[in-house]
Amino acid sequence: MTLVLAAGLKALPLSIFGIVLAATLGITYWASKRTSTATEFWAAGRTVTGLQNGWAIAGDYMSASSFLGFAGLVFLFGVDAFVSLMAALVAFVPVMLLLAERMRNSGKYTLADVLAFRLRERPARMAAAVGTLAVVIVYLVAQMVGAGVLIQALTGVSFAPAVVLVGVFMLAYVIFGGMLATTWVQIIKAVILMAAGVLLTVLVLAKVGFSPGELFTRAAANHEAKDGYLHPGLQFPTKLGMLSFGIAFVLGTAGLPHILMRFFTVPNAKAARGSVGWAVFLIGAFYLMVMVVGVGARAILGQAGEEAAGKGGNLAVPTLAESLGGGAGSNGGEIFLAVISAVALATILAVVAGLVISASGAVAHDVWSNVIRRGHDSEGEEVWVAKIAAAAIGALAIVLAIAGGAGFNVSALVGLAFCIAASANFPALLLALFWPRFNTTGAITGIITGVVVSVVLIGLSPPVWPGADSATGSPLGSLGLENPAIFCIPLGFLGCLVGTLLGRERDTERSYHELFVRSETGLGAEEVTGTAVQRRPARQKETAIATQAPPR
Amino acid sequence: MSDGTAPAGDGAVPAGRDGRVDPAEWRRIERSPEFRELTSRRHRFIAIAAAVTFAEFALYLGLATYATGFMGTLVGGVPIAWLAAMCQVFMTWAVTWLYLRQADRVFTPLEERVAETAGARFMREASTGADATTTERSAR
Repeated sequence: MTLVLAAGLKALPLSIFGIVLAATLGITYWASKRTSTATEFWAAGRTVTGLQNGWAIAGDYMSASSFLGFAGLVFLFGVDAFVSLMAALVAFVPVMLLLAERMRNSGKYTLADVLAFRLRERPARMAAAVGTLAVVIVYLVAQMVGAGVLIQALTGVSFAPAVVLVGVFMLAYVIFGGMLATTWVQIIKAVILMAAGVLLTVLVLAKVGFSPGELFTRAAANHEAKDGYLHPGLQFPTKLGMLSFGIAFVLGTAGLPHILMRFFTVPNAKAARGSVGWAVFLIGAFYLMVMVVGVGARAILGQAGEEAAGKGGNLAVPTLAESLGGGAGSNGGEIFLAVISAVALATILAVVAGLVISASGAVAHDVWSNVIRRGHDSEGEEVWVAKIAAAAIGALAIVLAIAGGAGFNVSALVGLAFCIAASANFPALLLALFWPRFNTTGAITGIITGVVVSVVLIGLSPPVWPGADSATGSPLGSLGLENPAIFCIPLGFLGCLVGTLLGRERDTERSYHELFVRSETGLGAEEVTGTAVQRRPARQKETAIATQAPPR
Repeated sequence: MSDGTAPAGDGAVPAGRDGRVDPAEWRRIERSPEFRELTSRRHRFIAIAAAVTFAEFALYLGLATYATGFMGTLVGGVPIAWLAAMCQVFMTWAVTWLYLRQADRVFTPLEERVAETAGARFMREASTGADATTTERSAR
């Protein structure tokens, strides 16, 4: 029943891990033959279809925290945890309605492209790069720490080597295979994740005779809160905290650089919106299954399962798998546990690879190529810098994850990443696309405000504030929220507004018309392949029209 | 930049020295009735879809936060909270599907009309017939 957390490598999970890793390396080798230009490196040549991209978005988005974390929260807190799942799904509606097609129509590789289009290029790119890197590095460290803890628990490999292993594979995909390898790792991960979800759901339902009523009755009977398990209110200490958490997810997703970057990999806006459609379908279906699996874990494992499920309930699903397979020690239990563990590993690898490639875009495409070299560098140089940047960021994340160790509060880090995304990246992107007066000063003040208030308020929040272990521990009292997005997002917008009104820039409105027409119609959007080859030296904007003037 | 710098051509988009399109051209497209129809129809749809989505999510979040008793009520053996969450999923699917359908049926044809009236230089590769016009113009 219990997972052995301590010494002793487990041969079966390790060998299944090995198969997963070998398969991903095979993909990377295949992709490396097809990746040389910048467009191929960051955008897979813009040849990913809508359906493929939909699966890849699902794979990019559903981190281990979706699969193990959310199911674990349902196991621990019952229906209260459904709120997190629904917020994470509804989040794709604003992405689809406001950003997907417009990003594809007006951007090239990074979200800074959209800002730099109509704002002063260098400061706007710097600001956007800061927002991107803040989100990505925090989220990456959270994923790496989670991965280390998980792999240690599931295979017996200790924390530091586990983090290094994940980091090395993540970098191999990105550096050798670029976006193409990342995309296919994400697609395959999403497929096996869905398959695991279906399998677990069917087995759980079979245990209760396919009666949902029986499932909930058993689950409630097995929870110390009894019927309280069926009422919301167990997970969040304050009502404001629950609202804020929901809002952070809904608006934060629309500011996640690694998700938005996926829209540059498809050939056109139609494929971009179609891919969100597929992603919404897949993620929704998966979350329906996560609810059943989480409640099922409670019904089947009971209160006794809490110890095995560990802190945050992350191991509830592997423990459930072991139990469904026949219990600890049985062959079926061992095999099912190992398979689910391998799925969790694949999940982590796909997400961290997506994060690293988006960070490499911010460093190489935005900061190096356009701010430092002012567009004078060759395309080969840009790709080389991207690979070096990926390696550096990956190494930094590995070091931070190992230095902080399991002491990092993973959920606080994930909350911080979403909070920055929602309050720094999302307001700037939205206003650049829809507000004619928005200017460079506004983008800078907005992004800086969003990043700073998120970091400060998370730093003062109950889970982080030193020595505090309760809701009253924060110096902000009951306003110290685990996720302060409800304060940070308005402040981020306010920062954009104040900066815009104080700025004295004149021509942003003029360039707005071009961005507006392009983003709405796709006129002059980046073409499927080859545009990156004709890099024009010393041009003023990244965005010169793709259907170029005829050769003269 | 004054509109006077835009050479009067019948749909030909003048390119600047660096090959960029004159900013006035974008204004011209933006003011065209086709573009206005596209944006007004799409923005209206987006506003309604976003309002419906956020309203239902706010309702769900509000109930989960403040009406815990109601959400815990059992209907057919299962708590309303679960049914409400499943409703969220189905509503999200429905909004997504409606937007995609509307985009394919209405917005994409409108985009193509904007592109046609904007001039051949803006045509996407896929559109046939543009080649002839482009060649003709570049020969000038």
